[in-house]
Parts: sequence; structure tokens; C-alpha cells
Amino acid sequence: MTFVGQPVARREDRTLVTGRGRYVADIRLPGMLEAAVLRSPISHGVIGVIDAAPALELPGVAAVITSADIEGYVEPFTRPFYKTIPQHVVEATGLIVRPYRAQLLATEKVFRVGEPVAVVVAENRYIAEDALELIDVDYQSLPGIHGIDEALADDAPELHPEVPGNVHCRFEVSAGDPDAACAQAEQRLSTRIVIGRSVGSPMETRGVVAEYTAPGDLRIWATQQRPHLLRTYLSEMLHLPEEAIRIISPDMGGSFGGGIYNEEVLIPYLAIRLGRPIRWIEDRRENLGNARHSRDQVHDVEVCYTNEGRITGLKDRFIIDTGAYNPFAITLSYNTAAHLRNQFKIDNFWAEGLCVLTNKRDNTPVRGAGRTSATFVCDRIVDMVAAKVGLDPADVRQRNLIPGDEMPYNMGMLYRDGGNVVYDSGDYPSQLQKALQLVDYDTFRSDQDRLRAEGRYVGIGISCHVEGSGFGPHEGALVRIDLSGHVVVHSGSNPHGQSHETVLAQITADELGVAPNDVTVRAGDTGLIAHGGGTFASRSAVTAGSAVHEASGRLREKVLAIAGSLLEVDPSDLDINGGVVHPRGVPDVGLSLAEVAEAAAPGPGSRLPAGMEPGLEVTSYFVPPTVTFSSGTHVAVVEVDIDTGLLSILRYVVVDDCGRILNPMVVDGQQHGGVAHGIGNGVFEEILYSEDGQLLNASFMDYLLPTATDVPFIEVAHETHLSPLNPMGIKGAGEGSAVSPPAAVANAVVDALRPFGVEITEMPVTPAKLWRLIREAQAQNR
Amino acid sequence: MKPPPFEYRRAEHREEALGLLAEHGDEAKILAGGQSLMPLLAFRLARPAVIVDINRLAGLDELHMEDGALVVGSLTRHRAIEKMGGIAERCPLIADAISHIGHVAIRNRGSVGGSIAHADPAAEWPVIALLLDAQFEVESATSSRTIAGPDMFSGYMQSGIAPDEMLTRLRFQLPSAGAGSAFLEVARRHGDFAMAGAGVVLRISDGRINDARIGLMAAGLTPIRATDAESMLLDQEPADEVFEMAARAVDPAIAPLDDVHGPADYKRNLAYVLTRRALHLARDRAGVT
Amino acid sequence: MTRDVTLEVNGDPVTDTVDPRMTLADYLRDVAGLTGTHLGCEHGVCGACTVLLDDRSVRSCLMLAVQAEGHRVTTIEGLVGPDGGLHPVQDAFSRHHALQCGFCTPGFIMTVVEYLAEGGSDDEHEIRERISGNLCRCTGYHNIVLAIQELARQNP
Repeated sequence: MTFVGQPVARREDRTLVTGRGRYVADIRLPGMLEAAVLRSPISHGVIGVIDAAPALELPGVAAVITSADIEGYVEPFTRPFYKTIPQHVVEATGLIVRPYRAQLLATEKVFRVGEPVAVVVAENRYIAEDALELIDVDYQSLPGIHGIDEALADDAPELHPEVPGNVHCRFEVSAGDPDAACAQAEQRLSTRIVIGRSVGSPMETRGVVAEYTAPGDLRIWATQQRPHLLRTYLSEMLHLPEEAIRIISPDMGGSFGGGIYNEEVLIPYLAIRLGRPIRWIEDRRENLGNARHSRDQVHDVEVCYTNEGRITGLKDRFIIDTGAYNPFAITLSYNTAAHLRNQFKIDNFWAEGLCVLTNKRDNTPVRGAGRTSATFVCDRIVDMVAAKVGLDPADVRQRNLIPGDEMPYNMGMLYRDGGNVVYDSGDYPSQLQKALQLVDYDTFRSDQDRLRAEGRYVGIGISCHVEGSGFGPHEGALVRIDLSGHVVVHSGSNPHGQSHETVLAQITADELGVAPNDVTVRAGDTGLIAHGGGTFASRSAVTAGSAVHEASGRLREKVLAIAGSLLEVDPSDLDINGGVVHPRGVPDVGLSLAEVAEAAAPGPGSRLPAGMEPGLEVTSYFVPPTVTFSSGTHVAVVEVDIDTGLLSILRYVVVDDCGRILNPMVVDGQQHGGVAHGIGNGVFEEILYSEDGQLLNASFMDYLLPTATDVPFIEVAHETHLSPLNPMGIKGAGEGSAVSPPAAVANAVVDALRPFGVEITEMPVTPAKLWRLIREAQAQNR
Repeated sequence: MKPPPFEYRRAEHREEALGLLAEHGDEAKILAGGQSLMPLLAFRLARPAVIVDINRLAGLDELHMEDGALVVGSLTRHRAIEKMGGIAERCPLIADAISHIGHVAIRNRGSVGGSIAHADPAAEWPVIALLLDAQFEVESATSSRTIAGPDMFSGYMQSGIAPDEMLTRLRFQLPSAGAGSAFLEVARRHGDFAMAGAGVVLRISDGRINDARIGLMAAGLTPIRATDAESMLLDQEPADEVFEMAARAVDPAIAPLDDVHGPADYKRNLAYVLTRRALHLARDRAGVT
Repeated sequence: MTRDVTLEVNGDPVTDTVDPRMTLADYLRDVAGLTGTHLGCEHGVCGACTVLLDDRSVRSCLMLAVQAEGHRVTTIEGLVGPDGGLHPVQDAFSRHHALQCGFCTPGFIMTVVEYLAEGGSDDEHEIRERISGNLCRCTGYHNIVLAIQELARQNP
């Protein structure tokens, strides 16, 4: 029986559907106190006196701390949330990254609305919130920067002295000879494309519970995609050995972007200081304003092409409004540059990326991480080219896609991890063809004319994407067979909805000849394995899957070697089935895994072959050579009510290539959810700030996640091309589906409104914006 | 996002509730369905010293037809009316409107009286009240009186109910049989607060319109009756061009505001479009006599 | 300043002393220990805290605990049969992969229990409208709608 590739039912579900999940907010420890954070009400200013005395007098309040209280005990953030960028990437791109330094609690200045200023600890959250209102802070406002143009103006105030001109990072990438290509081009067009700001918005808000029972025993439960990274940070910032810290990421209610947060350092510190367990649970208003944001880019792009719509060159200068701090440095901007050419053969290319500091929330990765913006820019431009040369967008796409027989395709630039950007596998023209067949493109085109004659504006839009998935630097897995013959997997990558328990068990089950139910997968605990990466960058199946595969394979070899010696059979003539090691073709003679485990146990009774380490346990770390490129093609069919600007998505088709599919049910689920997330980004979600840096929509009434009535059924199909970069041929499936919807929907809207000649250069496409575009086009055509 | 402290008083009978309101005046706030008040408390945007919970009061959840009127207790839940037999046939305007009030879990709990007293111009019941000549019975410890529809909505989220008064009964005069009515609303997502909404009642007799009402929600500080547009319809044939003219004439009566979901001019356009469409729908539904 | 509240939670009569400003959701989670009712927004939009009050769906973040006096409250924990068997809605959600992170799931399931009790149909539009007050960020609602359609078809 092979389990990989089967829709094996989820091991996770029984707990979750019965309400027995254990999320951070569900953790209640004896003597536990609850915290609330006082946040800056202004976007930029100097802090004077903080008077917390009235708050401390409130019954039930245990402590109020400000920056003065942590000075000398807790270090500020100075280390960015990524591994150092390789020197050859720095040199090739002229990369400048200014120092990163972020305060945990505001000391002299605040740099954004919502920046933590003080923390209250009280008997419960109700009292803690009462106490917040009693803390008096003397703020003196400074001129703020609330947009890219303001940040780059000659007379702009400088937010941080170590960041001259507010430009935190800058780099250039190029391939071929874009200047020559554009000079010789038959046609060219230039446009500005603006990507709105959004926030990940998992249904569970962030949270931390910390308990310090004895020196050397700090235990933390956190909504953390990277528990091992948090441990490293806490070790450095609290001056503790890593061994003294155990981070547990329990059940997590989604989480679409990572990083280490102030509260994840402050709450453990307070637990040590007060000697009581402390729980901090973010509320939704805090989450929308203070979980890090994403997107928010402006692109000035020029594209050069032939009269037949063949794109010969692409140049893009883009700027990211990176907010008050930029802990991920070029992660987003470089992702944008590296994915800008999408699936297209555009050999002449130049891009410059700038990260500009403003008095807003940090701009960091959220599902898609820079690729959503890149894809929106690229796919909008391709459709603009099609309109200019008077061809169907599907046709122009086919003309520009990298041909299947040219794979693997070297894009002529470096990836952020130091590897070359090489699309390792896939067949993009065939993927597009399949998507067009699924949606029945030709029939749609004939229906479209008929519907237009009836005054109905329907349109079809295509977006494709690539995703450098499975980012390193490593992921670990420990696989053990215990004395009962049961298999245990410890993973350094922890889930927040991705079904690790089920999928990793499938991999191990196949390797060790057992059923997935004979395998227990544990993750999200730094006590399980020495090194762990976490879950981000569509990496879990690729990196954790490969690590589990490798560890399980090595363990299988050991089991066979031991059994071979016991049975006096050559190990290569043995097989494992149903948990029994037996000579191939003789299934009823053999040893159970429990018997092998007992033979392998240390001690005088050990029956191990000479020189073999005792125990049935293998730890493997998978180190990917570079990312592996998954891809997908999406087609959206929409209808626009031209009187109101309201948009309905009538159909949505996905053809995905994530290499080896470990569990089709899980992969399809990722596609459905990613598309909904992308529809949110493309149509509904936009974080809005006022001119003075106040967040205008910090509630779920005003920050709009798509609901069931906003998302159609998602029709998913697969085109599988195995990755050559890992043993099972896996490519990431978690994020790509979220990347394309804004572009697919925008292209469909433009298509629907072709009689008016509307162009879309902004995401999200809200009804009010769309109505204005239609009205302006109507006025022009009049 | 936890409510601030308050004194909680659960009134067991009407006199007790009115006594508490008399005692605490504008320091007190009535808790009915709580679907508006509780979020305000969670954001700490409302800070009443005393909460008077009226959910136990008997007799505030009535619901019946009487002399061509729909009589509704102030504590009657939206969902009760939604499930009331015959309402969609008798007055589709009401059924249309209720479907836009949040979601079922909100409608199970939220009360009609609470919606009126909250006087949110983006809510459905206030504009229904204007369209259906609603009469509101209010009581205080010492007196009782009836407020007529338009007098109930005195300003942005300001009702005509005095701090010591409690709304007890609402009476909506249903359009006569044969009238057509419709209610259309646009929100960013289903169940969200409206960006615009229009309710219409039309009675057509001998091929002429002899009663026309147009109400707009989310179009200004209060719910609005577009009376000039209504009079343009009177004695006219229910023709497309007449509706177009009347729908255009809504514009001077409204004053929507910019917000994160759209600018005022967009909402003005929505008010026009929805009025026009509601007129068409109401005409289709009207029995022609 | 506290107050006693007596109610029935998942079939069991309980009396507790609470701060009157405590929401029903916080009561269920922190006092009754029933943490399956989740808080996603605390202002009545996300639906994660949906429970049944006398068999009708309500947002437990938009009610005070003291308002539950004398009422019957059913939470996700109360759906499991005495033998530990899953409720048909729980079972259908699992079989259809209608949950990923599981955080919104209890609220969805309570909403669907009421929908089916009212004889809800398998009409896609009707189902989508009924669950539009529950937000999910993982599933795109696709498999949730499929699960409900199957349940509605089997509904007696």
C-alpha cells in the first residue's frame, strides 16, 4: 500500500471538530495573570513623562512596565528575521541594507500608531484594559511620513539616523540587455501600478503564554510559525542559554506571515520578572493594526514588445512602503523582483527595488510574499500589450510563455539564497492550455458577445504564476520506532492548518511499511528536535517532507540491517509490510518492528550487529540547494454591474503544478483557501491610513475578509512535473494559489469592460473605484 | 476588547425598568438585543454607568397584524418577523429589508426596538419606519406618548426617545393590498452595513400612481424620505422614464458621507440606481387595479 | 461587584459567580472551561464564537454571561454523543476536509446545526448566504459548502 498520493483523511480533525483543540488562548495556568499593551495613539512623536501610578492603584493590577523597566534586562531587536544574504548576491545587485534596530517598548520616540509603549499585567484582561485607560503619557507630535512620496521628498524628516533619506534597502537586478532591447522595440508602453496594503488576518489573533517555574525553565506557548527562531531570539535578548527556553506552538488558527513580535519577548520577560505565568492574547483591533502588514508597493514599469505582441524587454523601478521598521529587509522586494517575469520568456530585464521607511506598520511577508504584487504587475502588463496589438490575451500569453522544451530555464539572475533563478520544472504552455480547456474559453468568448448585446458585462481573465518554494536553509526531522513498534516523527516545521500530522505520516508510513495510523507526528515544540525552520515560504512539504523522507529511509535501512542479521537474510532481500520485516515474497515469516526495536535497544540484551549505534532513531536535516519553482494558471470569469461597480466572480479555475502531490485532498484545500485569500486581496481587503497616520479600518466591519458569498466554487486541476531538487519531486503548494487571483480578477474585469476601454492599474479593485473608472471611460467615449 | 465596568440591572418588570431609567437618566443605557450596544462596549465607545437589561420584560415581544398595521413589541427579534407567515407576500419591502440585517445569528438576537432606538441611518428599520408611517409608543415612569415616524430620528444616531423613556411598541402601517413595495440595498459584503439602500412603496390605480414613497438609508445623518421625488411620481403613469426622473430627483434630498468603502458621489450614484431599480421592482409587484 | 448566574450548559445545570460585564463567550471559555468556543473578533463579525441559545444561533461575544440566566446554551463540546461519537455535522466537516486550522470550525458547525434543524435546503446560494456571517481564512468555503449540501440532502 502506498499512502503518498492518496487523500488520506486528516488525523487532526477529530480534536478540532469537537472543540478540543488547544490554541494559545485556551491555555490557563494556575496563578496566571493577563497582559494588555498600551499603544501609541500618534504616528510619530516624542514621549515625555509616563504616569502609570493611577493604573497601579487599580485593584487587580500587578504591574505596569515601560521601556525604563526593561533597560539593561532585555535587548532591543537588532538582528533581522532572515539569514545573512550571500556576499555574491550583495555584489551582483549593489545591495544596500541599512541597520535594523527596533525598540521593544518606545523609549524616546514612537514611530507608528500602535507601537507598544507600556504593558499592564492584571488579574484578568478586563482589568488590564481598564488600567490601560489610566496610564497618562505625554506625547509631543512630530511631522510624520505616511506615504512613499513623502518619505522620498527632499525636505522629508529622517525617521532613523542610521537610514539616510529613509531608504532602508536598495538593489538592482538585470538580465540580458534591456536598454538595447527597448531601443530596438517596435512598441513600448509605460505605466504606474499601485498595490494596496493588506494584513494576513488569521482567524486566531496572536498570543503568548509564558511560565517561568525555575531558573533554566522558561516555557512559552506562542502563535509562532518559527518556534526555533523565537528561541534563538529570546536566548540572545534575555541572556539565557537556549536550553533554558522551550517554545511550544500549539494548535494555531492560521497564520499567514511570520516574524518575531515584541510581545513574544516582553511577556516571557514579565513572567520571569513577576514569577507568575502570564497570558497575552491580542484582540482583533490590535491584530489589524499591529500584526505586520504586507504588499503596499508602487511600480513604474516599462515594457517593450513587437507588433505581434512578443515581449522583448521589461524594466521596473518599484518602491515598497515598508513602514516604521523593516525586519525582513529585502525579503519582499527581492521576491517581487525575482518573480516579476512570471512564466514568461523575457530575457532582457531590469528592476530596481527600494524599501522606504514611513510611520506605518512594518510591511513584511504575508501569503504570497512579494509575488502577489509581481504577478499583478506582470499579468496586467501582458494584457495591456495584448490590447495594444489587438490580440486576445490568451494568444499573447501563449506567444510569450517559456516553451516546455526549454525547461529547466535559467532566468539569468540570482535568487536571494545565492542560487540562480532557474525554473527547474514545468510546462507552462500546456498548463495554460489545460486551464483554457477547463473553462471552455472559446465558448465563453461567443457567449460574451451575446451577453454584451443584452447589456451584461462578463469577462474572462488569466493569471499565471511561479513560486520559488521550499526556502531553506534547512529543515529537520527525527524518526523513531519505539519499543512498542510505534513510529514517532518529530518535525522542526510546525503546522497552522497545513495538515503536517497527516501528510508527514503518509511519507513515513510508505518508507517503513506501516499505516499512517501507526505513526505519530509531533511538531511545534523546540524540545522535540535541535534545529527547526518552521512553516513559511511554501516550504513544509518540500523541506520537512524531504527531511522526513530521508530520515525514514535511513531508519528503514537500519531496521533491515538489524533484521537481516537476526534472520540471517541479506537486508536487500527484506521488505517491510504491515509493520513486519520479512524476506521478500515470504510475508508470514519475519520480525515485528517491536521485535527489531527491542533487539536494537541498548544494554546487555542488545542484539545489534557489531559496531551499530543502539536505538531505532534517525535525525536528518534536509538542506535544499535552492528554491524549487511551483507554478499555476488561474482563470476568472466575472460579471460587472456597470451602474454600481459591483463585481461577481462567476467561475474560478485553477491548474496547479506542485510537483509530487502528497495528499490531493490537502493540496486542493490549499488551492481553495489561497484563491479566497487572493480574492480578498484583489477585491476586498485594503488597510487604509489617514493623512496623519491613523488606521481607518481597524475592525472586521471595515477590513473586509471575503465571505462564502464572495467566493465561488474553485475548480482545481493539476499538471504534475516533479522537482529535480528533492528526492520526492515536491514543490510548494501553500502560497501560489493566493498569488494569482488579484491579477486574474482584474484582467477579467478589464475584459468585461472592454467596450469602455477601462484599464486597471491598482489593486484592490473595489466597487467604488470600478464605478469611477467606468464613469470616466463613459465620459471620455461620449 | 472587553466591555468597561458598569452596573448591571436586570429589570424583572416594566415598572422596575422605567424606575431605573427615571433614577439614572442618561447615565443608563437599555440593553435589548445588544447587537449594536455590545460592539460599542467592546470598543469602549459607549460607557454607560448603568445597563438596564430589559430582556426579561413580559409583553415586549408581541407580533401581530391589526387594522392593516404590523404591531411589533420593542423586544421582538428580527428573526421572528422574518419567519412570520405571510409577511413576504403582504409587504415584500419588510422581508427584503430584513434579509440584509446582519446574519441569522444577529437577527436571532437583535430587536426591532433596539434598531429604532439606535437610530443608525445605515440600518434597515429606521427607513422602513419612515416608509410605513410608523407610530412608536414610549413610556416613562410617569407618562406615555406616541412618537410619529419622522420625529423619531432627530439627528445622527439620535432618537426622539428621552433618557427616562423606553420604547414599548411599534406600529407599521402596511401598504394597502395591491400596492407594490421593494427594498434594495448595497453593501460591500452580504450582511455588512449598507453603502446605500432604497425602499419604495407604489400604488397604481387606473394606470396612474396614486401613492408613492421613497426612503433612503445610509444617505445622510438620518433615514430620509425623498418627498420631492415622490411627488414627481404622483398621478403619473408608472413608466420607465418617469421612474428615471424620480430616481434622479432623490439626489437633492440626500447627503451621504465619504467613508472607507466609498466616496459620497459613489453613494449618491448608488442611491439613484437603487431607487430606480426598486421602483421597477415595486411596479412589477404592484397589482394593477 | 459580582452576580450569580444559573443556566444550562450542554445539558448540565450550572451556577457561577461572574463579573456582570463578562461576555458569555469569556464565561464559557474561562469559567466553564469550554474553550471550543473561539474568539476571533469580539465585535460580532467573524462568527467564531457562535453558540446555540435555546437552539438558536447567537454570537456569544455579543451577550453578557448574566443574560444567559435560565437559558440553555449548547457549545461545540455539547454536540458529541454520549458514546463519544461525532455529531453528523462534525463528521461531515471532517470527511469533506471542510477545516484546516480549525479555529473557525466550531462557529461554523453551530451555525450549520441550526440551519439543518430549520430544514435548510442544499441550494448553494442559500447555504452561502446562511454561512456568510462566519469567516474562514483557510478553506475558501469550498468544502464547507459541499459538506453542508451533503448534510442537507440527507436531512430527514
